Amino acid sequence: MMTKTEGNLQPVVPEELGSASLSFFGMAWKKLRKNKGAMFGGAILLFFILTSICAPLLTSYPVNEMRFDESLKAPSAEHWLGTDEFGRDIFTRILYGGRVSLLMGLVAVSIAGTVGVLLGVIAGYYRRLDLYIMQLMDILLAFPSLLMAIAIVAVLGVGLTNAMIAVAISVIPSFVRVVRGSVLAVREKEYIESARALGVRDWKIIFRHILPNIASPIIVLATLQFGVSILAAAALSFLGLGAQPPNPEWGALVFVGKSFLSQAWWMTLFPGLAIMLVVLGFNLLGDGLRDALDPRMK
Amino acid sequence: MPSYLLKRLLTMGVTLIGVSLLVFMMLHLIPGDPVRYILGDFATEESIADLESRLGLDKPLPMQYFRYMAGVFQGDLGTSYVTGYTVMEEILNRFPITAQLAVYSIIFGSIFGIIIGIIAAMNQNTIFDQLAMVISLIGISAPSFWIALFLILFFAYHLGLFPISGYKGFYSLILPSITLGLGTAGNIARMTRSSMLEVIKQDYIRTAKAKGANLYRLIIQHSLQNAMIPVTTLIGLQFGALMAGAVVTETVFALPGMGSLIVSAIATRDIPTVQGLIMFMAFLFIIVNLVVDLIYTKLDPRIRYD
Amino acid sequence: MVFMQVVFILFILSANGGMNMKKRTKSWLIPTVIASLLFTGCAPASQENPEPSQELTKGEIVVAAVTEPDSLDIHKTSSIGEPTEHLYATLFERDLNGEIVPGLVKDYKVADGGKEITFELKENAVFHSGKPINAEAVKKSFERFLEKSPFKTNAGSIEKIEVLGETTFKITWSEPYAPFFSNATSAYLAPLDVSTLDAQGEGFDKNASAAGRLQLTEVKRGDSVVYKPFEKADWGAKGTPGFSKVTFRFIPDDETRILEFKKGSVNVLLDVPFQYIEELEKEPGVELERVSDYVMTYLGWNNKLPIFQDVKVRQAIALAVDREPIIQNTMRGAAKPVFGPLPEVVNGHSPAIEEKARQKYTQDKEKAKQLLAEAGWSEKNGEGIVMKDGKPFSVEMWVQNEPAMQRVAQILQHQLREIGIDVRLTVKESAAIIEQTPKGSHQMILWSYGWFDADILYFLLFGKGKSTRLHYEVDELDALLQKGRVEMDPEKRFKIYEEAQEFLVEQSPWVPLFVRESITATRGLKNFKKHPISNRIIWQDVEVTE
Repeated sequence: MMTKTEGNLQPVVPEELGSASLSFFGMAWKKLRKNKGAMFGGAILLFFILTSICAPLLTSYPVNEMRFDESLKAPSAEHWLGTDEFGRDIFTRILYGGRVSLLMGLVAVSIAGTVGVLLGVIAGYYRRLDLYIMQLMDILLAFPSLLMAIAIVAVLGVGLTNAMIAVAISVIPSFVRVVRGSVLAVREKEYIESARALGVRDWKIIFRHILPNIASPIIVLATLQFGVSILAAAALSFLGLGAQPPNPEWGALVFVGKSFLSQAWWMTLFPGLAIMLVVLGFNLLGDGLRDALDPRMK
Repeated sequence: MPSYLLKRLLTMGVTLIGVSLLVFMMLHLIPGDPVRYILGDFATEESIADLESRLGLDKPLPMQYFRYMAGVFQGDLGTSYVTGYTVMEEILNRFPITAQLAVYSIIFGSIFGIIIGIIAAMNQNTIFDQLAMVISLIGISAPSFWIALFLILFFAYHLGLFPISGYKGFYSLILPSITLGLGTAGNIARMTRSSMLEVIKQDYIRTAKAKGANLYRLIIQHSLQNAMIPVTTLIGLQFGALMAGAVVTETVFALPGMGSLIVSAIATRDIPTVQGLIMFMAFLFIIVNLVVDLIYTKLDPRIRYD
Repeated sequence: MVFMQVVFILFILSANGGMNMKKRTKSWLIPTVIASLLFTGCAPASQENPEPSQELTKGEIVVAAVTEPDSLDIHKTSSIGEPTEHLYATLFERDLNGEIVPGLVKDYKVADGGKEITFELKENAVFHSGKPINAEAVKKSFERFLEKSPFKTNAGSIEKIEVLGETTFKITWSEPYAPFFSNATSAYLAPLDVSTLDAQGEGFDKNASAAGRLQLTEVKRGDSVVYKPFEKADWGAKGTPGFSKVTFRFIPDDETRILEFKKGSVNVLLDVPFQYIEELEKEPGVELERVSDYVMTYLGWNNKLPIFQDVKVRQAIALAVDREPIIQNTMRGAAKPVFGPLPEVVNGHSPAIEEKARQKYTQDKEKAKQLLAEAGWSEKNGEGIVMKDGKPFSVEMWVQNEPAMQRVAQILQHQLREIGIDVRLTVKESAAIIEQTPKGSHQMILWSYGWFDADILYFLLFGKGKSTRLHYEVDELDALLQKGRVEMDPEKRFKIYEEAQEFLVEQSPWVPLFVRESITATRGLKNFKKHPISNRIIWQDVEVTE
């Protein structure tokens, strides 16, 4: 097979860190704190996570109740971000929608991460299976990802859960590739070879020595894929295949708002900004993590 | 080298067959029967049976698949259920536009991305680094129809520099290419930045710098060259994303490309068209990535295939 | 390309400013500039005319349409619309009042109780190819229609077609088929010139020839269809067409379409999205042509389900619905409420029935609740949902993936909630709805139908074995509808359908909602009109003024 450098992340493997990992992550945190971009990204995320959790405390409007006399009102003291075509408060809907969007990202990344890491480790560690797994990943990769998601949703049926699964499946190959690449780099290290020579069991080697060593690229990738997943979920909603009305998922809000662009720009602007900021937050944090977790950068 | 190529071509064949199986299964699992869709409100049991047998949909699935693949090997991708054109005709009609769009947006994305990436790396941890990264990230984070509408409103509608929509030659592809390219630019910028940072941090560069050596040459030789490897990979990967990502862009700009065709074909359950298009896109994706891998060897003599 | 360079240089300059703060970095500037120039050099230079000319040529009309027709060949397409229909001249036409009048057919004689009709064609009519439209040509076209068209059932069960003379032919049916005349006003049954097709009887797009007012000049798949006026058609009092070219451009995105129109590169905008009506009304020089569409949107449900067996439940649902907020809110008032089974433009519509239905089903929440209670849905659970035998009244509603329909669905959800019925919305692709509803896997659907003849009640809505969306098949109704199909006398036929509609109003197996208005915006055109019944552009008098 090919020995290509992996897309986003070159596996950077510190020598011998299994035992010293705490101080390694401690140092990484120190470095991360100095990175203004990452801190800014983290702050954005914290803001959105907190506001969506505390949504009922921050707003007194109901999410889904219609009030026709209040429809399409511009932002005001009463409705901070205006109202939609049914007189529902946009600010409220964005708060509650945050729960849906963030959860979608979380679930999709968790599924993709678990399956991806598993397959990646297997492919990288047990070379006999490598060819088959990577062949499967090549097939998935060759399939345009958005179309893949559309097709999966078409098969499973429209809905939030299925949209999450579709997004997760389309994200899996990138995890497998990165993890496999990192495992390949690690498994040739002397301490792994000596562990193997000593007859340590495979699973022990994988969990004790390999996984901790490839944790950094996985953390970085997961952070970045979080943003990608939220965007992909929004795109699915945009195509009408994600959240069902009246669910205030952000992508759905943007999509509905688009048809009112000329009279109610606030309907599409604010949810769109929310998506953009959150994705930005994940990306900034991901970049910061990459810098911080790279042991060569001292 | 030749044996490597042979191996790659072989896996390519396997991948394509895998893709074809996957698409085929999916299309037959999707709820929504093409025959009922075509007949619409006027369907009767006999007209359904009649059309099914005419389209060959009454045969068992494995047989349909083998028939289809037999056609593919003879260069026949079938005929669209709804338009009456052969799928090959449809693809050849649309491919030039999507291909141009992909190429232009990659060119735009690379230039823009590499420059931003260099600027950011040169000014690591200053406000300019952050700014450059935020700008590049906006390309990744913003919904593409937003960017598209903004570009149309400003450059086409208010300034009248470009046509609003439709395909009228190169000029009409500039705005769509920018729309698509911004995402690529963001990715490339970040990659360029981190690759360059790695090079700059290398001991030999530090030493050279300390010695007051000619920095331009070093940078050009090492950082850009090093950066080119992940960037090239990314271009290969982005190519696939562009094919699919073109869906929204082609819709907003009313461009007759493959993305808009595939969406309408999925909606109308035009199985031969969807199948043909996805196989074709997968084929392109694989070819592009093969070429990318071969370019590696030119970029970095350390990489060799065997 | 200049524009891009400017952007780069701006960036480099701004970066340079930043670098100056750190002394070392001026040196980075040069490679950056070189790299940027190098890359811009690589970009292909623009070869085409750099002037993005948007001007229309003189006498040209550009129509912006939403969707591209799957095929221009009427024997193949699964739907017709403005971009296809004007290519064809029909056997019969409808006048502005909806009466069926001669088209290509000058006269006809019915014999054998409606099983045999002899048609007499107009003399000297020709196809776009210049070949005469004679009995032989019409027969050939009909034969191709019966062989290929998905809609062949719309011609009835034809046994044979005989050519009796140059312009006379006779069609024999195995049983009388009353809707034939209505159906023959649609392009589906219009003749096309079979002689210009290739040996396999294909390739219509490449060599299209029919008899409509517009003659095909070019098809650009995915982009546009270009026509010129057919000189030999009837061009009214003036005798000549008032335009030289018609281009239908397909622009799926609403916002893009509006901008093209406002910019002036499009002068006819079909299907103006409702949100833009007010804005376009204010635009100087823009005229809006509004006609009632014939497609009726309804709230339906699977009448085979136990929950919908009680007529009181069905009536309660109908009484819960208030069409006004739906029309005002989602259509900006550009729709007409419909209470009876057939909207105004359909052959068979009865004003008396409509009025009766309106009185019976004007929203009355109290009465609706009372009916529900009488049907046994009297308790309420904690969320205010009515219950029977401990089970809440909770149903799923399927709705298409179209923004306006989803808004309608949300209002219906809201209104039904007010009488204690819980509705969950599920968005589905049309293709999936079309496949799954005949199997009865749905509960409620928000759907629509459009056809010009009351026979639709039989062949799509309530006929035995045909009630694919509503699954409401009752002997009494079916018998009436069967009778209507074979009754050749228009008066008697109307009475039959009146009776059938009365039955439907009483039984309430669905809730008719509204008929949208079809709004077209034009600029720089004179005498632009749409047919009030068929909803199509009347090209005869259209003149380009600018």
